[in-house]
Amino acid sequence: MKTILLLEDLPEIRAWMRNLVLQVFPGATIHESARVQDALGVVAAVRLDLALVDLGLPDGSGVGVVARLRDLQPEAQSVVVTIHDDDEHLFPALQAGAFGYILKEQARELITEQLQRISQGEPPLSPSIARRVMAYFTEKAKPRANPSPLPNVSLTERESEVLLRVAKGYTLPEIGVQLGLSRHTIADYVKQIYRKLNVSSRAEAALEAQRLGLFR
Amino acid sequence: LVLPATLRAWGPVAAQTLHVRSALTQSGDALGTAPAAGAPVLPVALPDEWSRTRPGFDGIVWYRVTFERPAAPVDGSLLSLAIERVCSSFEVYLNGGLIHGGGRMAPPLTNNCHHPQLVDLPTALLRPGTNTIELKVAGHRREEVGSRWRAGGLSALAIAPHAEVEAWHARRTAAAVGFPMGASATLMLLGVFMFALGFVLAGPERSSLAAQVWHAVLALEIAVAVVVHVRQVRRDGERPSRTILLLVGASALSAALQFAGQWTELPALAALAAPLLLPVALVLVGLGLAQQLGRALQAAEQTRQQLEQQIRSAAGEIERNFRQMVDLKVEQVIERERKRIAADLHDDLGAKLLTIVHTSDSERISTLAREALEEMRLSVRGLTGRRVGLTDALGDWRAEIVSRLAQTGIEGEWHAPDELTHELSARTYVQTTRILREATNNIIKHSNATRCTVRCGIADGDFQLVIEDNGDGIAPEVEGRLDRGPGLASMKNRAKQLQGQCLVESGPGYGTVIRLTLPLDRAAAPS
Repeated sequence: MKTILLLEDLPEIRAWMRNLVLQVFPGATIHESARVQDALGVVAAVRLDLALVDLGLPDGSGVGVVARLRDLQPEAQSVVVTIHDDDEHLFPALQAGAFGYILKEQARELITEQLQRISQGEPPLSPSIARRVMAYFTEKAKPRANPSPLPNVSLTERESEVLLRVAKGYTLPEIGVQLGLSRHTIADYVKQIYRKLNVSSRAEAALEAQRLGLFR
Repeated sequence: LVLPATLRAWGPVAAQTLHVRSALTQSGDALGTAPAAGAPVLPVALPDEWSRTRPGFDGIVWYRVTFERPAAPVDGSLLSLAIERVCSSFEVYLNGGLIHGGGRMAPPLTNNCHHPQLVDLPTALLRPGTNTIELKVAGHRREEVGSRWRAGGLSALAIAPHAEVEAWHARRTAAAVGFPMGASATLMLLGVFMFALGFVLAGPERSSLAAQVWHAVLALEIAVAVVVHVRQVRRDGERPSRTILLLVGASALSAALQFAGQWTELPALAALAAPLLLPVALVLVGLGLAQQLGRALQAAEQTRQQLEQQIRSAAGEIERNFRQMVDLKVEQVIERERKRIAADLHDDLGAKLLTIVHTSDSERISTLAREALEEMRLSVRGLTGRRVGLTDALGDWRAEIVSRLAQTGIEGEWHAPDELTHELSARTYVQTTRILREATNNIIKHSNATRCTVRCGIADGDFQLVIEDNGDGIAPEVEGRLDRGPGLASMKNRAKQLQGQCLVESGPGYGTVIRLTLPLDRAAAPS
């Protein structure tokens, strides 16, 4: 019996999503919010299993809700449901701790399938997102002028290989064949990659906040 | 015509001294005993300086003075005429008779200029009543004698008893004449005495010794000065310059040679060289200095040129940086504007289309709205997107096409070269994406194919994409049906817009081959 948060400002879409969610997770308890403030309240008050978060809301971006949920309830999963398919919007969400993303306008069946897959632990990874993640970790691996006290989060070689192949456009089954791994293992790698991205990004953000705090 | 002169008495109490302050003058010639007849008579005031009253006059002037003989003549007393200064020569006539001559009246004149004169007036010639004294004065003009003191002139006269005037005269004479004469004589005597003394004492041999002693002292002074200088320089921490050393060496050598030449017989060359050494050394030093100056000027010129160069390059760099900044700024502004457009599109248009997708009952309408949303996204990407690397683009296309084909059960094969460094503009990327999507749609919906192979490559600067499927092929009558959407025609159109071409070879039973060719250099250029 899952408890699910639904954050979406367009009422028709929200209704449709509710419909969909109930189809995938029958009997789930659904909390609906149309604004970031409300959602933050729910995140603080209710123990959630899953959050479906829109990015473009009237009073802000859903990325904040994703981050908050990761802070308060690390076991909960957030999935970004959005119109935007570009990494400019999606990457920050992933950094904040989103588990995956779904494009809103896809056909019902597709979305259902994606949602199921995410909840089973297979987050999606598009080539452009993969490129972005690779660039991020490459930047982090560079020797810094003043070494920061951050935990040095870096990708394993396997993870880097997976990322590289995704960036080239190979599908996960193909990668599995190429690397001799099962689909499930590859999905695990992707999960790990996202987690590391989140950890690293959060640490950086915390350090930045601390530094700013010192200067205040 | 003779006019009487005016007399000015000067206090009868002052021992009957008559001071004469004015006289009548007339011109005359050197030999005459009276003024020239018919010459104009002019009154003058005494003292009379010719350089003032008659500048440039050279010759004889007669002065006439009349006076009353003192009423109470003192017996036994002689009257005298006291002249303080008369220049240069003169004669005195009393009542027409010559009583005193002062020397030659024709050039060269006797020089009485510095002598006070005392002329006794013989009592026998004095008449009771008015008497006339005439002074014939011969003098030079100032320009000729060079000094006012020696130019012609007559001072004020005084007529008084001899006894009183005599003392005055003696004093004046002593001061004007006696003392200077005495001093000169003394000086001369002293000088002669000294010379004689020196000559007698020293003797000719002694002078050589004196010269040697003096030379030694001079050499010692110079040596001491040099040593002090070198020590000072050493203390300052520098090496004494070569110039100083050269000069010191040359002068030391020169001095030694000259000294030695006094005592021993030197070879002719050395004897000649001795006095020349120092001048030659100085000349060398001068040349060295001139060379230094030349080098310094050169160095300064070089430095100036270097500086100019640096300034030019710095200015060039500044210009470049500025241009870069301007370019970046322009880029930033464009980027921001595009992002704003994109956001607006997403928020308004996208939201509405999305609503249609999920609330429409008709499957067809939902699909159309969905495709419209996809299109919108692509258009925004084309507007705001940056250039895309060809390898990245191929990755994106591969992922989409292969997964879509797989979803419908079509086996997809993708062949593409690995490392490509080319770049596509955002528009090219977007348009090619549309072409590929259209092709994939056709394959999925109409071809009944089971396999699809995509081959990508670079040939002759063109990017080539070949999509081959083993389906039914495109029947001619399928094209043009309205609900197929733009279809093949649109693919060809888009390719043409990118300066490329899209060829379709198809036939029933052969499957379909789509060849897309895009020129890379033009594709890479910003649209």
